[in-house]
Amino acid sequence: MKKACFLILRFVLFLLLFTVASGCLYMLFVDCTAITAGLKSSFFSFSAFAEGVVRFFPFSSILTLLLLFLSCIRHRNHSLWAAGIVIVLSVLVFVVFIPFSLRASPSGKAVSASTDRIVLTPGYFRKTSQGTFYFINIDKNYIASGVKVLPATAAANRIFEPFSFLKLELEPADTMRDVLISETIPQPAFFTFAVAVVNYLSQYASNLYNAGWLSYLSFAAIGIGLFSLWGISFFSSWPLLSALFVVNGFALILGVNYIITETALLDSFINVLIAYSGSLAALPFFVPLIINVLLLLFFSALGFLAWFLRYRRYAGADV
Amino acid sequence: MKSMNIKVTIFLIFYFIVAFFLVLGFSFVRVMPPENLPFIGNIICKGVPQDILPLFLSRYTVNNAFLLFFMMYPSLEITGILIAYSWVFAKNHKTSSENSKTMFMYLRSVLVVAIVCLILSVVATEIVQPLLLSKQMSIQNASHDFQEFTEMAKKSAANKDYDLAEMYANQALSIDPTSKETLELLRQNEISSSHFESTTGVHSFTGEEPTGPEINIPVKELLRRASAAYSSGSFFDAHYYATLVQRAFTLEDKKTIASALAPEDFTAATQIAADAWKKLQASDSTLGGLSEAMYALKMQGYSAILTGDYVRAYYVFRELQNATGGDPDILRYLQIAQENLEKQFFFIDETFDLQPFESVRNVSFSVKKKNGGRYVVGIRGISSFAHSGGLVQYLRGLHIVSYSVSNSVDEEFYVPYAKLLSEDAAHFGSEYAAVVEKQWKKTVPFLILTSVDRNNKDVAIKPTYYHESPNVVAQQSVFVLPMPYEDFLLITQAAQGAAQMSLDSLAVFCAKASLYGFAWESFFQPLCSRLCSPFLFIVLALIAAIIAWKFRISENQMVHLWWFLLIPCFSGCIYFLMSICSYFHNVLICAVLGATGGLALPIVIALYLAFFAVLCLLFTSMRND
Repeated sequence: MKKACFLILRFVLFLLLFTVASGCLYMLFVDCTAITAGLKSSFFSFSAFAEGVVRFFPFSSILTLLLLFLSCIRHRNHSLWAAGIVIVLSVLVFVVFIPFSLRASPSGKAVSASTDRIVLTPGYFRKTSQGTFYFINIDKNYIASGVKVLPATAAANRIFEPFSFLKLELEPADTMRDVLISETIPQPAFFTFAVAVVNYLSQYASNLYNAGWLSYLSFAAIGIGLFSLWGISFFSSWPLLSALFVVNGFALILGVNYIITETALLDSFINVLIAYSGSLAALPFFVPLIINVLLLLFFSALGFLAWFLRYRRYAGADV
Repeated sequence: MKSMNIKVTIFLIFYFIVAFFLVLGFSFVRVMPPENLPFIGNIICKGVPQDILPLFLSRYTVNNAFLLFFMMYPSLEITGILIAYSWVFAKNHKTSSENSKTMFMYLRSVLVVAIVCLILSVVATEIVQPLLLSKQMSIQNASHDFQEFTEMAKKSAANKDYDLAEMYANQALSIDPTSKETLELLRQNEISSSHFESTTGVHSFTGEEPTGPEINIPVKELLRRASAAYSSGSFFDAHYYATLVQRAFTLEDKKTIASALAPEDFTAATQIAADAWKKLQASDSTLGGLSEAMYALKMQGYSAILTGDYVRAYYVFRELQNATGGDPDILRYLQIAQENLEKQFFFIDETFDLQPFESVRNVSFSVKKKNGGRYVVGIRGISSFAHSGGLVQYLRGLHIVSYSVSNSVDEEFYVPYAKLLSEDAAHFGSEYAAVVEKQWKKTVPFLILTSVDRNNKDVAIKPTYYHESPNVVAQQSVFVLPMPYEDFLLITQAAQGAAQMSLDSLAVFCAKASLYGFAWESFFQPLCSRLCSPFLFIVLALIAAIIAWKFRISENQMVHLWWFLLIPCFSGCIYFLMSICSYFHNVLICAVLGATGGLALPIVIALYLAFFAVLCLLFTSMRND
């Protein structure tokens, strides 16, 4: 019981930690996008911090649930009390915390920095979607003089194409942040993908929440899927390996939910289900609910099997 | 602690060996996927890049495997620490009694292993990785050049320019001597070329190259040589040496012929020069053993040398050498003419076969002029060669756009090849001397823009002027950039990206980047990132050790064999997590840099040290619960 109560305390601590961390990281991200070569920028921005906290709160609280499962593994706390508390906290996250943050968060905006156009400074070679430029001078309306660097495959007797007082039609990606800086910090491809998944799921949750509680249940079904981590935590007697399984399981559950909600797979699956179960499958939360319940059953069964085999082999000894 | 470290080290060595073979296998599957791979195969298998020649395939794949291994190396080390300690802590803890002392001992062990791993990781990222990257790039460049040369050979053969086609085919074969297609192309060219030569009578001459310049000879010695030559009937030499003595008296820079100058030497030299010239004027063809026309040509060449027209003198003596085989006078003056010609021009044949040896490609930078304007310089490729203790660089595709103070183009030219030398800045006036004032080496990049044919005076490659400066009377054959030569070398490195630069070059270049059109932030951020990454590594190693302690096996638990099979999953996960950490590490540095500028480095180091201290406290306060 004492161990189980500590779980609640840890939940609060982890949630605070993730909330502050997400705010700080978002603020740093916004800082970086605001930097222009040759100009100084500010570091502390409370508005960016607050935006980061609100925007990432659903993800922070889901991540806190992951840490809760890891904490159970670390303390070898597999009691029914602990399971009950994790269930209660999961319900709290999906029924109270996430809807609350969705209401507070600015809807319809993906995770990106400020949408203001920056002033590009002259005197640097910059790669843009239109090619590489060197501006001798450029104003805030992007009327510029300078040279354009021609690609190596272009006419052999030229490298530069000088131009003067030309109105540049730059893509938003070239003007939202300084390419010179964004090139300096290449984002790992899988991280970009992970951010896209988080973005999508946030948007998805927001849309469903705005459509009503019944629709929102299809997102909340992820909570059921996440409880399969409890089963996964029984996979191995080596806690570190169990932790690895749990982390990968967490990514898998989010990934599966991303796939079933994002792709056309959902539609075809619904059509098959309608054919077999009639109008029940047409309910918006039906498919995600079914998938997450299946995940829960599958991993719980596997976890039980792993525990049972160990128990039979070593008669309950932790070897 | 010793036994603990030994156990961890043995595990790490074993783990690295297995990981290397796994990465090697993965690399081969990635590049050369077996047929009918399942769905995931399409994601991980990249196949061979299209432009890599089959000849380089195995080298490319092995190189790629090494590169992948060393890219993953820091994450493999952290994984090793995580797994090894999660086992070793449990086994060791059975025997230890007092908790706080034991935790200090463990911390010491972790730090020793982490520091050794850090050293290996720094070697991997700072030395091995750049080497492998440059190797990979040279393979890609060679493959690209081979395709380009083959294409050019085909085009030239189609245009019936067989010499050029043969040259390109030979260049392609120097990269891949086994290419059947190119060998066939060369064979066809040789047949067509021999047929073409027999019908047109084209011949080429490859003469013996002159060597041994005569410089820094004292006036007394020159005078002695002049009178000796006069006495032996070598009137060209007598006149030449006497003229050099006369020039020594009129030269502004007397350092070139270092000696005390006596007036009687000047009088004697003038006398010898006058007498020898008289003899030369009066001489008939029998003097030089040549026909009268040849002798007249020799006189023309000699006069050109005296008037400083070394280009004309070179071709006259080259023609004489081709026609007669060259007497000592001709070879001597050909050598003198060539030495002087090469101060203003270079030979076209020097640039043959250079493209495969280019070390740097696509360099663009700008240089500020003293008067407020600037040059924007673009270079397609640079090949460097050691020459007479210095460095000679050939720049392929040099394009310079010069902007005036009012930001309008005042000069613009392009040249297919230029030769770059480092020259003493003092030779070019105070404007250039000022730019190297604070430099240790006071040299500037001296560009020779015009290349000439070794035998044919009518063939020359000159700059194409798109916009001529009103101040320039004639098109120039040389150009001097107002910047230190050392900075030019740094720019060539910087143009390949900060990741390719050594730490010291990067540190030096950071202070100069904005002078040459590079964003200071783009170089200072990678510098800070590289200097701070050891701190990040130690912090991550300590976090790994803390996790290892918290998730260690039970004291009586066995290590199962099947667990080893899952270690690659740990490596993959840690690699992803470390990439994310590294990304946020860069974001943190960039944000601090944007706000504080150069202070970012000490601030970020201080942050890491504080975090390290907290982690150490956390580690030592952990209990066996």
